[in-house]
Amino acid sequence: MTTQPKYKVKDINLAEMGRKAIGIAESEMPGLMALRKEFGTTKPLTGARVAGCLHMTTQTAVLIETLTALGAEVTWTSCNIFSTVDHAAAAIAATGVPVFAWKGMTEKEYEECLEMQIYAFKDGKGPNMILDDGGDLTVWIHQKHAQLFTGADPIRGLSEETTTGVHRLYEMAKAGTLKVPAMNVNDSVTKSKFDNLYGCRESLGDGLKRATGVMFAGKTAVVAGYGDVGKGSAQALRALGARVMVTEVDPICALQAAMEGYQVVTMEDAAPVADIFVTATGCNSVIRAEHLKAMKDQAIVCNIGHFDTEIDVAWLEKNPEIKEINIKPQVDQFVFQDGKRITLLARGRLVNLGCAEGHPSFVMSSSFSNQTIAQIELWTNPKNYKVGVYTLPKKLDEKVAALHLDKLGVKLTKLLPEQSSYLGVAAEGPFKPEHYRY
Amino acid sequence: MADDDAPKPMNEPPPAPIPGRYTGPTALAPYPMSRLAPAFQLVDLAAEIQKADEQIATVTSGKLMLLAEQIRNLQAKAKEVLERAKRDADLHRASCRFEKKPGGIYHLYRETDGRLWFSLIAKDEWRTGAPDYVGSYRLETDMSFTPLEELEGRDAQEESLRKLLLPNA
Repeated sequence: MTTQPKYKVKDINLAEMGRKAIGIAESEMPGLMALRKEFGTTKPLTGARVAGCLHMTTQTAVLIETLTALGAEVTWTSCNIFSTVDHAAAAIAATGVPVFAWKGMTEKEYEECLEMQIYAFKDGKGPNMILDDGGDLTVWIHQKHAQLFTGADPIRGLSEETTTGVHRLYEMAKAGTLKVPAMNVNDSVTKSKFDNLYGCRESLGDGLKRATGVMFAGKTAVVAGYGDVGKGSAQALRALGARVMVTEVDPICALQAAMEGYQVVTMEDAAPVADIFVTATGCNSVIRAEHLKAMKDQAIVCNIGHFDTEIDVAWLEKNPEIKEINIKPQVDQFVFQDGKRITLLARGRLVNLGCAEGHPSFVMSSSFSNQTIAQIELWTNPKNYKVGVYTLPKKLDEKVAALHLDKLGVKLTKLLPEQSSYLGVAAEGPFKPEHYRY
Repeated sequence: MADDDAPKPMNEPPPAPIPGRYTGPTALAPYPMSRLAPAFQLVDLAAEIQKADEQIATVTSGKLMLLAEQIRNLQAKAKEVLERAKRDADLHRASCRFEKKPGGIYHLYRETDGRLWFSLIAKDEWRTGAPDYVGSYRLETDMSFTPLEELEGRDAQEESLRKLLLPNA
């Protein structure tokens, strides 16, 4: 007989500390707090049982409590084995929400937690909504619990947080294996153009600094991938005086990087000269054995793209000629036979979450406001959505942005009636056509 | 700049100290004043192991001295203490990706390659199939481990010791 634990966190006694941190985060998350105010009495998520799999940080705690304030029953796991903020997880577990997340899990424990969260709803009912980051929970439920998509109270929909997960969704939709409507939260402008860009711009440096204390000024850094995450990462490094090089496969992004003044090179060129390596491609095998071999002594290697596939960590781990030294949690050095050392952060997983505490609250508020609105939309209007992948309507995207303006003291200009008719745009929006790129 | 470098007359009294502000020597300041001071406490696994080893060594030698006074019939006990110390040291070397806290109960499993690892998930909680289970332990404040099945005994022993040492508490 299997025992179902109420929650699994590192130390429930950290709850008080987590509650304080959540209090601070709330004041920096105006979008979520505004949604609580708007929907706190109507509770549109009543009846929704949301299984969430998204980095269990302090900001996510504010998201979880927004979902429960809107009437949902929630269970939670972290979508990365190193990304949990233990005191935030404890604070949420202490409120009675089943959380299965701690910083530093094994892969086996991670899968086990996905399984536990499915069984953790009241009366043993499974989830009827999915909130995912990276697609692991989505794939897990599709493969192991497909029965949850049928029956009297089936899963109505899922919302996906990130680029990589969205990519998996489109592949599933194409292959005909996707079983519910999916909301692509990542491609809301107020998500990818903010979280990925401005979030990483602040948290990459935080992770690198906390892990190594390395000075950026004067160093040569290489950023692999010049998407939104790569753009933010490159800016962060350059802002503190690093010389930044970029690698790209896409000619458009490569040209963008060049026009911003970054030297665009291949990893082969960059490996022997760079001091700091940051991968942000969403691809695999970006830094391979030949690059690791060519690196300078004391090179720092980390990843800020979603998965841990960008750096060939397995080659470092399995190579009998390379000795591994643990410096502190999430910081390992690999010593080559000639004495050369490479410092690897968070074992190739997300450095900003493994070595720091993720993005600042404010930028996560816009991402998570999108998540909340997507959950409300899929839960309350299931008839409007056939199986497929959708993005939130432009109007809702603009609403998310609007919810964050007051906090920053932004004064919005109103279109005059004659301007409105000149542009052919309603004074209250939407202001841009769907294809506008911002 | 040259003016600033000129010696200043010494006839003015030093400014009155601000109440509550520390004015003593930097070396004795109540908080680190140098940017080269250690940062806040990230857990250093190597230091943790060392700390645990030192603690175990101290505790073990203390116990041994006591035992030496009580001659032969306690030799068996000495052996047990040593074995426990070795076991505790071994347990501290088991792979563990999270930070262990005194008072926490941790579950030990064995990989197919023989490597031991600690988990927060108990043997009967696995749904995806439990790995090879070795045992469950509570980490004590002295960095020793108490097997789950000996918890009651240990707690009772500590309770009676506490009563002995602090009869009025």
